[in-house]
Amino acid sequence: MPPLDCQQVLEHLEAYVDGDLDETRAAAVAAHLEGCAECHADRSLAEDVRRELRALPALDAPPAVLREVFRQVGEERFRPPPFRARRPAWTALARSAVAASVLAAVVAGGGIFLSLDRATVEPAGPDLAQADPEEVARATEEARLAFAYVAKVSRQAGLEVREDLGESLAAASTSGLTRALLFLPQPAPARPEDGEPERDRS
Amino acid sequence: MQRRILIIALLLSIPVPALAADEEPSPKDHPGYFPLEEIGILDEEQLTLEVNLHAPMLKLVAAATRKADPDFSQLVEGLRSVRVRIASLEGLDPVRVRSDVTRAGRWLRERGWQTIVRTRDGGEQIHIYLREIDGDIVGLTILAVEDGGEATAINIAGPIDLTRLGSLARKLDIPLLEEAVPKKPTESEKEP
Repeated sequence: MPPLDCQQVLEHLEAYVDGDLDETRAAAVAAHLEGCAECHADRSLAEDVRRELRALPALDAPPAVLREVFRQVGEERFRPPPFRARRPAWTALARSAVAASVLAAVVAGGGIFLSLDRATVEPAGPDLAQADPEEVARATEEARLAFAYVAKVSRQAGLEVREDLGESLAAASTSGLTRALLFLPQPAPARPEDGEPERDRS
Repeated sequence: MQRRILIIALLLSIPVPALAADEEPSPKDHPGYFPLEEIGILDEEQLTLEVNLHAPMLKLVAAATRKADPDFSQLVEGLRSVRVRIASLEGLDPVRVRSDVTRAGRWLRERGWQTIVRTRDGGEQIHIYLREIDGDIVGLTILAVEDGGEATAINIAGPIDLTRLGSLARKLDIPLLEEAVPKKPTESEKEP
């Protein structure tokens, strides 16, 4: 490694004092310090500062302050470089429109893909965890209410939808009130209004 | 050039809503769907109760009740829509109301619905229709009218398990409804 000048040594001095330089570079700095009184004085000053800093008591900062410090450090560390070039407004608009359209095209393509996929693949189940519990609870009650009305009306008609109703429909129920009310399997007089027979209980 | 880019961009954006709509088929396309709003007796201003539940929410309801009430959950899970409309008929002409129900029944039959039950008891009419495709029940519609009282229109679209529905109907315990429901006739009270 070539010998270092004073400016180069000054740039590396802090790292040298902290012991952070690699062996080759540390040896080059040390060689310069032996022959340069000015840089040697700077090294002594740097070591004094380091020593004084380490002698300071540790600071117990409140958690909120620490969080804020880390947040700002993190923001600084990961902040993207600022957009320096100022472009005309129309260019930005055009770029936004193109970007939006490309995104829209991708979404649309995804839609087509999903539609095609849905025809052959069982759709995924609902994500209950992401649903509003109150809304689901309300919908559940509404669904129960709907079926309660089905029960009410069917009972009022003398037809309680029962476990064997599926069979009853096919076999044209052979007994009880259900048979009397089931329209299809039972011959009935023609209804004058629209030509269909009707069971009249009045 | 920039203007051309903008035009292309706008054209690319246009089909998106249509494609998004295709993603979830409309409930109205289901053969078990009956457009309740087409029944004149159930005008919006007369409604006292309205329930409109469609497949996405019904799936959530099924998922939410799977452990606590598996029968209810399984009944609801495959349904495409559950809709109820209750309307007050006070002050309406009963002849007009019955005519509307008849028209609705004709609409259903013309589209392949089967009349399962049709009763008339004084001013009360109850019509129950089923839509069946390839032996499977895919729709249930109930129209009930009570002169001077209320009209009930129910449409359930989707695969309906009547056995499960019957079992569930017996379990439902809604006091307000139960009070209005006549006692189930005993075997001796049934018609021969």
